Amino acid sequence: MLEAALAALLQLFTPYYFLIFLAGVIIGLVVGIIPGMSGTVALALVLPFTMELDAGAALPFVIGLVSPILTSDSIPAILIGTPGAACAATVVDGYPMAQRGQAGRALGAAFTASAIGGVFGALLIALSIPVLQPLVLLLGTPEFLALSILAISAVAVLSGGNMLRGFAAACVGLLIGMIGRDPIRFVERWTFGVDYLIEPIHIIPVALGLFAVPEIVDLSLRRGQIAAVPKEAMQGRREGLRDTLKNWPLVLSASGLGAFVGFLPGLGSTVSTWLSYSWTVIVSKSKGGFGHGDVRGVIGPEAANNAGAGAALIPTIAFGVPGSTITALVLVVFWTVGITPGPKMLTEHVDMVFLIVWSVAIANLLAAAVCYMLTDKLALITQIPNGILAPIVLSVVVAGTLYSEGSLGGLVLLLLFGLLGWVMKRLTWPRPALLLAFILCPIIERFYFQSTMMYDNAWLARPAVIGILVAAVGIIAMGVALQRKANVAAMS
Amino acid sequence: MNKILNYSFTLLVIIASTAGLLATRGWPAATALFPRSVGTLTLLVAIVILLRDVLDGRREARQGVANAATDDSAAIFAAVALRFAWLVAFVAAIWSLGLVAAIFLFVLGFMAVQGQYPWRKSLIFAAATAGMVYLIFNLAFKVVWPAGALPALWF
Repeated sequence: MLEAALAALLQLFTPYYFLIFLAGVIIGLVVGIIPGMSGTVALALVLPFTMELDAGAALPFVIGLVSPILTSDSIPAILIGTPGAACAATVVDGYPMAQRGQAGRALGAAFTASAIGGVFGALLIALSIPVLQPLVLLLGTPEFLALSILAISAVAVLSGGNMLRGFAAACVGLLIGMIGRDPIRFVERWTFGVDYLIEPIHIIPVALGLFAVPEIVDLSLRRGQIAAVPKEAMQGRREGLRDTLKNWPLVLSASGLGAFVGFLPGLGSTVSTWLSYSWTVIVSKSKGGFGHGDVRGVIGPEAANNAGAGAALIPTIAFGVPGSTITALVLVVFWTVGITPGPKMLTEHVDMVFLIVWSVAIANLLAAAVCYMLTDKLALITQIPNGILAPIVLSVVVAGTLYSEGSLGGLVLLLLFGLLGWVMKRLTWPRPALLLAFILCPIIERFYFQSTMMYDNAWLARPAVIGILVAAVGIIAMGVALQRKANVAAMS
Repeated sequence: MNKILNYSFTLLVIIASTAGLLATRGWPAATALFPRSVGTLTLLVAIVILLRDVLDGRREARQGVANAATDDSAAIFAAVALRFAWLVAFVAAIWSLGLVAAIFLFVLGFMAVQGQYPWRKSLIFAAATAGMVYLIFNLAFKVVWPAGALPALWF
């Protein structure tokens, strides 16, 4: 295993692979700074281009892209109080610090905590390999089917917005995933005589339409530039670094909490950062400064969301079952480059797993170092006017779709899914549930038929299947309870 | 306005899932198993959502929660419709002129007309974007884009 780890490290530092990895890190850093441009949007944007790369280049590229977003998004969160979804909790104390002239200190603390959290997440993936290797070999098709159902249920219930809408969105995603030839008898389903629909709908127009188009359309509605950069952004970052190192027990405990939440399907980094913020407040002796600019309120959430992002990759790598939109898109990249996650990946492609581990760790360290040194330069990106940014990014979206699809049919789908995505965003229908269900639909259908062929209906009686399905029901019950609580709070 | 969009969207899900279910008639059992199961579930959940939203709407109306004066949805919908009209025009331009020329026209038009930037600045950004796409895709990736319908008529 050590050999595989070393080989993966050497491969990552091969000039060609490292340049591609670096390109991913730079794109991630830039995307993180633009409010509204999430990791999902960035990943959807680069998805068409990963088709040109081999596995050794594509995986570090996408991991290198996703990891720094959670570091650089603290720049707009702290400087201008406009967070991405992942670092909303950072704003609570980071923005007041910036208003008090301590932006540099808050940024220094955020970058250091992010780097440590990111390395923590990478270590967790590496340590999980020997534990998960024997475990996944015990699982069969029925268990993977149950895990897929669990993932969709969790995302539908917990991905924000109304639970029923989450379910409906997941169902719509499954239905869209069934368009085209069925996997058993190759009978056409809902193709309406359109040749383009005979093959299953490709992920790229769906992902770009649901996530990139609505964000860019909304971006173009806001006039002017995103924000101005305060001059004090550069000062006091070393103090922030010292704050983080001084609070190492908090950094480690928040990273652990973030990693645990990240590992669970459906919860995602938003929940992880808020939970870790609460944790930070609970374990801190003096609580008076929280909400008014306490540096610990920045350290906890930032460590948690970077650790969570690494841990979220574990179920995708080990079981081939993603628990979030980003990991679902990472799963698509795995398929695109010819790697099937799951037992085979942990036994036959351990080098690839270590390539991911190194990519997560180094991308986080690189991102923190670049942000630390170039905060003022990076913050200039927030000054690009929306009216210029929107048509350029839309052009890239359209070119990427046409490139991957090769026909105008993909562009028509992009427009339709763009409209659907905007309406869903407006009406708070959870889009992650739709996308995850769409991606998992063919797997679920195939696993179901394989399970019934091998075990008839007895697959439902397998202990692990019962356990996983009980967990799915438990998550749904938890969702119902949370929804009721929220409704009661809204009424009162 | 938001409420109308909400009801319409849920209604669309109901209609689409009903039509989808009806279309499964005549399919082999194995082909239809998943579409019928998921379609029925979608239909049921969407009906529950619609009923709940209608009841919530009535309750809010009784309590006077809705405030039409602060509802800027109509203006937002109009602005978004305009953005999608730009996108439709962009796709039409790709079909008729090819990708690189369409990108040039789209960025130029969007910046100059929609964003009201000076024409010279818009021209520079449009040329730079189209040039970047040409460099990356045509030269680096050696992509052959679908030819535009109009140039194909002339050449």
